[in-house]
Amino acid sequence: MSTPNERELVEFGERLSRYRKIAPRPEFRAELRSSLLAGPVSLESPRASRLGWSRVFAVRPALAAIFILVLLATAGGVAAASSLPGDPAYGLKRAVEEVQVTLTSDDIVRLDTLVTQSDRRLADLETLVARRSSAIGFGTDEYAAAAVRVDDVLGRVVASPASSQRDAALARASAASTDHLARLEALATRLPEAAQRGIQRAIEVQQRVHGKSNLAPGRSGIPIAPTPGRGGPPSGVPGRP
Amino acid sequence: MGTPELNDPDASSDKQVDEQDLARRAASGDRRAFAALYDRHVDAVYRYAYFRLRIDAEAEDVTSEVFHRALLAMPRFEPRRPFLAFLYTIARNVVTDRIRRERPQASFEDALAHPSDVPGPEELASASDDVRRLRSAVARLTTLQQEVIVLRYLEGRSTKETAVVIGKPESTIRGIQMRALAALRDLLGDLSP
Repeated sequence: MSTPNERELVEFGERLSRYRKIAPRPEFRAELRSSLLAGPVSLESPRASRLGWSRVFAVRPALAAIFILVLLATAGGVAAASSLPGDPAYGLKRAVEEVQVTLTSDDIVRLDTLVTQSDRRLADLETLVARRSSAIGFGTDEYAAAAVRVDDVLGRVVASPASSQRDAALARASAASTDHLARLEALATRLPEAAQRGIQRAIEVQQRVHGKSNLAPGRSGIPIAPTPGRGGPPSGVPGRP
Repeated sequence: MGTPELNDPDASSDKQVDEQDLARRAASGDRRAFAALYDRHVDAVYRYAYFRLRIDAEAEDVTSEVFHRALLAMPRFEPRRPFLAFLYTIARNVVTDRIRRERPQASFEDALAHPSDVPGPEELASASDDVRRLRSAVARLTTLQQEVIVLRYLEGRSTKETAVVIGKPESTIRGIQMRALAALRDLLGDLSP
């Protein structure tokens, strides 16, 4: 049994419920949502050890490289390498790719790495579409996020001083974006309605990448060399390492 | 908001299974699933920060940090655990760190004496007088009392749910709750119905 004083306090507490309507600004809510969707993936492992591997990665790139090699040599690593968006091992594959980006020495190498990764995401998406997977939406988001990261680094490479390495990397990015745009247009005709918005967004990003990679000052007549891994089968195709 | 889904296995079982599925997918790297969890809980996390801190921009910073930390920690998340409890736990830590870092020993009176801590014109304009009074009064409670008031009354969580988040027995939560309500009523007077 509550005392009269307790009842009064409970009634007072119930009157506080009128303040439950407080909500964040819609602009803030939308911005945060976008950053969560487009941001880089986690490096935290499912079972964090006492050593704090993420900290080791941050200060010892060589150890991180060894970790990747060991990981890829194990059965779990093989499973992760062939995983597709939506698979349980996919997070591990992305974590490994994230380490690969972390290990790049400069923006030019980083651009090549990210272009290669966006190639993989597109190949993954094509596999998901071919399999009529329920993870097509996720695969589209993953591709779009990869393209945004290419776009970000591309901006810095375009602004960097002209050099043969820079121009070659830009030429590869340009060739990749041409290839991607054609494949995305083909995919758009086969994607379900729910994924159309995502694919259109991805096409817009690729168009931006294409325009940017062709407009770099001082760039002309660079032969287009194929990007490592570009145009190959998706990472989820059986038999692919 | 205010639904009892946080820790009651019998309540809204479809929604809970759906949430567990979303959490499982988010833990495997599906950011679309994480975005769906974000859509469900961003208001609750923001409100928690809003009433624990006094400046709107700080509440946004905390909300942002909570979800980014949660995204990083997803591979370690146990999907059977209530996702909102997981978020609240992170939010508690972020708010505590922020208060400790920015105002090491400040009382509310100290805060009033420092213009940089006082809400600016935009904040003042955006919050109605009674909301500001309530935030000021909540800030004068002890940390535990603040958490209980926010979770129980401003978020509408049950005593059981609040106990899970705070990590104390329900009986202890009830005791804190009555003392917090008494202190708050002394500070605010009776709120008009």
